Amino acid sequence: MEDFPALYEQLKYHLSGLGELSVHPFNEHGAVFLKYAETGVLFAFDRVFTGVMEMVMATDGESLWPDMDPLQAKMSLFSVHVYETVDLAADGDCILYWGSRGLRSKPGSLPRAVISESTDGE
Amino acid sequence: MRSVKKVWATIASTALTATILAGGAAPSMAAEDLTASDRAAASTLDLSTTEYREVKSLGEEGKLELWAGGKKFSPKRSTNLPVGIAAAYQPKTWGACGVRTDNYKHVRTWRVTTAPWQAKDIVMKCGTWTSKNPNGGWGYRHVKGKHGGEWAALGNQVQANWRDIADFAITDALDNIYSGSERASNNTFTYKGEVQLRKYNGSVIRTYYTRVTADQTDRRLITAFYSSSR
Repeated sequence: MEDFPALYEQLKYHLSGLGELSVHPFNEHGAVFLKYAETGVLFAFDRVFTGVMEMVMATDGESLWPDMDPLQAKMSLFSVHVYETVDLAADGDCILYWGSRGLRSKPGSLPRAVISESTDGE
Repeated sequence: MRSVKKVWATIASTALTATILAGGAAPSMAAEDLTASDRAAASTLDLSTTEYREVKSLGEEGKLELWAGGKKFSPKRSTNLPVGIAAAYQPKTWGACGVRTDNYKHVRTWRVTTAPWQAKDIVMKCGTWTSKNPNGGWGYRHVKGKHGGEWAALGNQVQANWRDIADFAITDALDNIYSGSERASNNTFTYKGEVQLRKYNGSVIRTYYTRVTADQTDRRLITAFYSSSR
């Protein structure tokens, strides 16, 4: 994947209205998490970052916002889909997956992952 | 050298799900009586199987009502309103969207009465969503494809189709806005409304909170759905 850090930063920005995106370990094959600000629930996508980006590219946001940069339009519409999914999530749901009707949530086990937080980026 | 602080936390891999059987007994008769479709509807409506059985029974007898913003949902063909009903809402007809219909064909326009877009329109267009690509989507096709079943679960309780119920709830959200939120990060604004499922005697069974998201540039409706959480 080209320029993983840049794509990560863009996706993180588009989802910032919902909560905090993180990828662990921090590379394109890392597990993707979203901590939903409104409820504090930690969700995990059912695929690694490259898989999530493939779904972002399928959102055809450019048909909604034809004047916008296509990638930005896709990420914006993707974030709306994430919003409606986490807003509809039942208690106990923590996995975001793609079903026959689009993004959904379900209960499950969060991927084993390690979260690191550095104050100065060593 | 500046100090470095690292906090490591392992995300538990322990399964979060647990099955709780009341009293360890076999499933109740109420659950056995319900079809898979009924159980799905009960889940969508956030009702226990026992509650859903009662709701289903009352609905079949025509003893359920939907209310929003002081108005009672009234099916299109109903002309005799019950005495004492101050106002009834009769849903508007939506434009049709066929498989080959242009994405930008007009379906329905709502005139917003409250900030930030008061006296402006929110427009529903056909938009996009297909079963081959359910990950795309905005407008009518997205609302139908992703949330049509949820609207139908509510509509079935008052013998109405999903479009009429969605029209009722969206109109309430845009007429009687209880709250809203702007998301600059994705160029959208979300209006919130609320719809109550009531018994014929006025007691509230559940309150559902409608979300209507539109883009800030052209005020095109992107999605509309409801949940039982505020």
